[in-house]
Amino acid sequence: MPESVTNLTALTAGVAEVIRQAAGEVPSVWLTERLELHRRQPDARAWARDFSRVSRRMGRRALRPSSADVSRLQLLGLAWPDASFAVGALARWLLVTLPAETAQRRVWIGAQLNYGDADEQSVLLRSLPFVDHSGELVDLAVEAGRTNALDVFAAIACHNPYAARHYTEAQMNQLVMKAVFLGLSLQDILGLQARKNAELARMARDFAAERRSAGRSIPEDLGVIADAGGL
Amino acid sequence: MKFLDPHIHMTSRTTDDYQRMSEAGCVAVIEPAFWMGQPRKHLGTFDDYFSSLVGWERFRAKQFSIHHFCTIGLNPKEANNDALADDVLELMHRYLEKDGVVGVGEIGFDDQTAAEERVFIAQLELAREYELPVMIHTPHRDKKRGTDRSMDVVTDVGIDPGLVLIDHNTEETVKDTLDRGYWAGHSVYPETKMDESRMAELVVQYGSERILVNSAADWGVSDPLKVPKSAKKMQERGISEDVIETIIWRNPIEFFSQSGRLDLAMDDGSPNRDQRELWQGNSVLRGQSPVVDEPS
Ligand SMILES: [Zn+2]
Repeated sequence: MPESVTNLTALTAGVAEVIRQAAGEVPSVWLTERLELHRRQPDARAWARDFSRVSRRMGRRALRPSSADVSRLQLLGLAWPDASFAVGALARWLLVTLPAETAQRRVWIGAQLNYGDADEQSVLLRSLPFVDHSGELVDLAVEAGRTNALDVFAAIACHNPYAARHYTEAQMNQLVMKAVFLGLSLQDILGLQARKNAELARMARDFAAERRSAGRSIPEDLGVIADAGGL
Repeated sequence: MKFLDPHIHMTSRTTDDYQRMSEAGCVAVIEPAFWMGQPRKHLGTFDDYFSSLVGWERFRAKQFSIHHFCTIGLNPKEANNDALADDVLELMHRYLEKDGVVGVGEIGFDDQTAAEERVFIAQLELAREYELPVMIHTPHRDKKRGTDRSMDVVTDVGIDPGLVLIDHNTEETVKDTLDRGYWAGHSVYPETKMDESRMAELVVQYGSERILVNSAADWGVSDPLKVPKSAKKMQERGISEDVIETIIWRNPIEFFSQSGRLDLAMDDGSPNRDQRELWQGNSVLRGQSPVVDEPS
């Protein structure tokens, strides 16, 4: 993961190039100009407006990055978008990762999480590991994760290292068990091995017992969080 | 017969309605923001309502292969509380740029007060700022005068009539509406306003140019199938298929496409119907088998 602004700069440049190839010249020029404007003159309302309309400006086409692009972005720490991902959503991600003063960013991200539609909320949560290395925004992530909207919850729980880095044990355990309940794959929770604990193993065991009593199947990957006591 | 219902409050309808609409050929709906039958008292209730129009309701519609779009606005019945109205106008900035929002509406006059006029004008300015078409609700009481006055306000603000849909027209208002260059919507209700036969006669007289039909179905006595039922009555009256298709399909698309956001081509036509999809962890289905369209 990029821990420095230098890496983030390289990553955003790489993302901008993938967007240019997918969206074409004219939308990319518009995006570059807007990014530059938001750097120079930060304004919450103008930024929020671009955050909503960028999807339409960039088009709904799916990203079709070359395998070389994908490897390049993965090396820079962006495990997330895949080929089915719309180019507009990646452009949204660029707007959130704009280098900006942290206090201001916290206010903007918090406001957008409140007023965003599901697509917007997902992008915000996916941007967190890139814009917040100290865990300052962890309360916003935990609150947003209280939703049962599957896409939004998956954006913080799956292919996103933020929770494992910054959540308390109780918060992490709730996230993992909620992923189990929603049928998400535990393999997709980054950093889970390092966050395993006895309490989580007990919760998994109780969950398995509950399922057995109800005559229902137990998710195959539940064993990932079990301990020597088994399920 | 495919159709777009350009004015229907799906938040107040059940999944049975979505099912029947889908079977009758409904491809898309426009849900204008309106009121709840009694005035709201808190900004937060507007916030959550607007949020559901760009969120949950879109998902519900998609499960029945129906595209859902909305218009955002402060309706005139709730425009007379000045302090709350100002807060709602400010809140609208948060929603007017969303992908699912294709207009400002429904706005206009109810009691035709000065407070209503102030909020009406402010929202016309918002429509201009966000480059959105406008849906105007004409008043039930003193309708003719209220409709003329609504169009005068639009003229004063300087918005092109081609960007404005005047809704709930009757025989008394439609000629002026069309003569002044506006689009004319007609709400076909079971009892009041317009019925299917009158609607068909109106089409015989005025043709199809800038004419729209909707059900305006909501929480009151109303029928979400009034658009296909009106089309059937037009067929019986000998009106050509081409004219009917213009009224129930091409016209609403042409009008709301002026937003640049009515993306019916999204997902290659109709959204894939996959009722297995979850929203907020809850399927709308309760026990019955999901309908799943094979990807085309
Ligand atoms: Zn209405």
